[in-house]
Amino acid sequence: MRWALLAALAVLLALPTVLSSYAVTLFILIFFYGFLGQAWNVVGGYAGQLSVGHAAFVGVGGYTAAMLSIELGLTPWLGMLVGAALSAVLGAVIGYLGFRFGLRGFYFVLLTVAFAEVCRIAVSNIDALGGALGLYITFTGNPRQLQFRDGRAYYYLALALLLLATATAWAIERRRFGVYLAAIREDEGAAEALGVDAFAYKMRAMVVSSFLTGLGGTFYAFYLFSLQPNTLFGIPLSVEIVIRPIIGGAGTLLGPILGSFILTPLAELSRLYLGQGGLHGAHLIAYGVLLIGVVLFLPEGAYPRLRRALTRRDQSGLAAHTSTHATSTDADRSSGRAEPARADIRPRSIRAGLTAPATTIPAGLKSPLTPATTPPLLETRGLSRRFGGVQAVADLDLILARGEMLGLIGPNGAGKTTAFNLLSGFLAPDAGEIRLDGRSIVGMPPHAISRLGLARTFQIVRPFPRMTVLENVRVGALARHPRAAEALERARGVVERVGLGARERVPASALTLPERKRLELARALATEPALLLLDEVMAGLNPTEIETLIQLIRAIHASGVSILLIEHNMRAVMALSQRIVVLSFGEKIAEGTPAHIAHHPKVIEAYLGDEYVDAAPA
Amino acid sequence: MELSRARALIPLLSSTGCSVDLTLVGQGLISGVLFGGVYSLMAVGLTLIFGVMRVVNFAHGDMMVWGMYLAYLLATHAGVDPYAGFALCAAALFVLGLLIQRGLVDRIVDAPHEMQILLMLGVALVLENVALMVFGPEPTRVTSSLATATLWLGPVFVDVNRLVAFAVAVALTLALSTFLFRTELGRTIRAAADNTYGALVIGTDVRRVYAVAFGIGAACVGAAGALVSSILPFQPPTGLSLSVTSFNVVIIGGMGSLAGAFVGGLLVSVAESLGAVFLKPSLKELFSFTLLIVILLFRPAGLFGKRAS
Repeated sequence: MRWALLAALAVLLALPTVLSSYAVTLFILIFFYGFLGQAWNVVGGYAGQLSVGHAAFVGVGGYTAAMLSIELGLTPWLGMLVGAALSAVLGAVIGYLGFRFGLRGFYFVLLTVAFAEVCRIAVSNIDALGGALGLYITFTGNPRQLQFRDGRAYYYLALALLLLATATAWAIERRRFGVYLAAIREDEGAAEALGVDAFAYKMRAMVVSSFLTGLGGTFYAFYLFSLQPNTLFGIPLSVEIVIRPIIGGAGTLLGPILGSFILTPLAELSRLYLGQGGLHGAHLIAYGVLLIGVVLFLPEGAYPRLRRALTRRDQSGLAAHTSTHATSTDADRSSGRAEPARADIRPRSIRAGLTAPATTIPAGLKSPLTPATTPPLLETRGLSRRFGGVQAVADLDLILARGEMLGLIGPNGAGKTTAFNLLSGFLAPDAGEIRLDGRSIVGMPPHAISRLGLARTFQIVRPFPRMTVLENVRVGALARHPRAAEALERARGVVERVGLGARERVPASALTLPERKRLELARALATEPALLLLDEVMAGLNPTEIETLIQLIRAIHASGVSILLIEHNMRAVMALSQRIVVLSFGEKIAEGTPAHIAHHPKVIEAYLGDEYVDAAPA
Repeated sequence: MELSRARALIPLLSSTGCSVDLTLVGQGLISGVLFGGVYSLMAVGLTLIFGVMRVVNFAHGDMMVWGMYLAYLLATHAGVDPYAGFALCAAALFVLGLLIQRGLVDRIVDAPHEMQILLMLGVALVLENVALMVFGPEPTRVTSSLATATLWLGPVFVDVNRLVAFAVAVALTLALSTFLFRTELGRTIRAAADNTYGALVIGTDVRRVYAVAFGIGAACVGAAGALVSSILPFQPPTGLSLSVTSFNVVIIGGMGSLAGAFVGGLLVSVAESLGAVFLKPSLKELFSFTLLIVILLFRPAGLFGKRAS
């Protein structure tokens, strides 16, 4: 693959010597639109934030460089950077507003369209910027003014821009930045739970994307020698920018380039042959039809399909590889079920104090009180949250000692999941205090809480469906191991540990429910938490699967991870918990050892109704 | 009523140095309210489609432009006045909406929002540019027998065609809400909008409901387009600004809320109309896009809607 790309590059470098001037123009457009598509791809593809207002960045970049050149005589080679910087500022403003105010999907699209249109109309009405007629650049043919008599210079310039954007995308893709963007695109909430600061990463993607697009504006202006608000800021240009990566494959490195090689010649030919006959909208109709076709039949775009077709031959080799994995994990599993923790999932830093196996602690854990010298790992005071007329969690006091495994049970609607959402930062409490390792975490976003060592799973599992098992877990591992390769190694260890080693290359969407539950667990575990919040990991599993999962959770606990688990499966919760807290209608109604809870009248009443209380064994 | 409110504005405005003709403000208010009926009808169509299918019809304005061109064809080739031809336009757009739903939207109702947005953008591109190919880029306007008639109410005049457009649009909106609240099919549509899964469980043919809802949504803009075809000069790209106006109205009113769409239509129209009194005509669009940004940021839940997630 790499050699094929290098060969293609060599051909492209040599090509202008044999091409006609019309063909050179066509290639310039292919490169330029491929470049704009790649720049868009950073935020629209990798981060999945659909912007249909990227023309605004072309406009700001182009107008800035042109005005600096016309008014101040500044060379566009520098003006280009100034324009790109201003575009990045605009991108930061749009991104800040969109992401801070939580505009997603349709709303974010509208925001970007509206900003681009505001810019277009504003520029059309500013006489100093040429108004609706725009600006014209006098042709001097001076390379210092970014002007060339030979079209081939623009060819190499456009190719350089395309390579710049592609190198940027490549650098992003293989770093934590890119993995996090993909996680945000797949499921922002789940990414946050794994320590991803979604806002910060989306902002960075937006700034990089708008900066690159702004560079393109200068090229556009000095290639065409004229700037009109309607062409530089208009929605048609935004559509041109968006459509190539979408058709080629958004969020892939070569998708925008492939898209441009498909669409640009198509658009040019239809302009050439149909446009002359007065059929102006022909290429836009073709865009519309292609867009519809891609959404319906090729939602990933052309490149992923092409890549699959090209790598089909390698599939047999891959299958052999996975089968060796399968045998090794089977061997692991049979050799020792509740084997002690491996070093690779043992927590670090603030978790260093808890590495003593939990089995040595229980004496101190029979009582909820912990020694006064160290604060409990988790403590809540008066935690409350109301939804309209429902008091979901009321005045909840909770203490979880280091190394403890605490069960949280209660009938449906008792407020257990709400409590989890409050603890992990997905909901803000109306009142109350939450302390993790002695430090207040109220008001912190989920990613910050995750970084402090609190990991959670979701009751309804939320894997990143288009990532493989290993990639899913890597998102978690990156929280402690910023280098992608190292995180991958860590992730592999965790995947093996939860028994998914044989499935590490399978996309998460293809997993069975028990496997998804394990994946959910593995992902949380990969963040190397001090405290793991498990939300009904047993639900939907059969007794055998429950038994294996109980062993797994025991092993995780034994490795020094404290656990708070919500569970409806009584056998599991009784077997696992050292202590149980019972919620009913948001209030804590009982607390104690499993044996104590099993006979507590209030608990029986809450679960079965008060007429059963008398029937309960004493 | 409108005039007295307008009078109350005067001291405020004169203190900022603007000199304002009171009649102009009254005039703006009246034409705003009257035009608002059409905005309401347009937005009711969009909100119905969204409410039932959770799909945002990005081609809404382009469908409306097709309603206008159909009215134009009926007027120029068959001599049908748009105020009679709106029913035919609505029927034609109903069929178009039905076809788009059955052929395209139906396949992506459960797809991620991005996919739905892209599909509808594709539909919008096709509709707009087919119109461009067929009818050309020049602005068009339909002549109606009512076009020049005016009524005088004291110092302000009322365009008769705006008055008729308003009356018909309000009547259609009322008829639609009667349909939705009083008939079996209407109730089924509302049930499916409320809880698709529940509707499936009780044996509703949800696909049929979707098709009918999309058809009705399109018919609304078909009628609305015909009704304004003699008031508003139009050309194929007009569709975009009409879509934006629809989004403005629907987001102000609350996505999926019929009452919100109706009230929002009147509000946006009056705001734009008053804006036109004070601003250069070229800045009217700037005003509506700025309005959209402000609405998006501060009122994503709308006047009557639940908070959008």
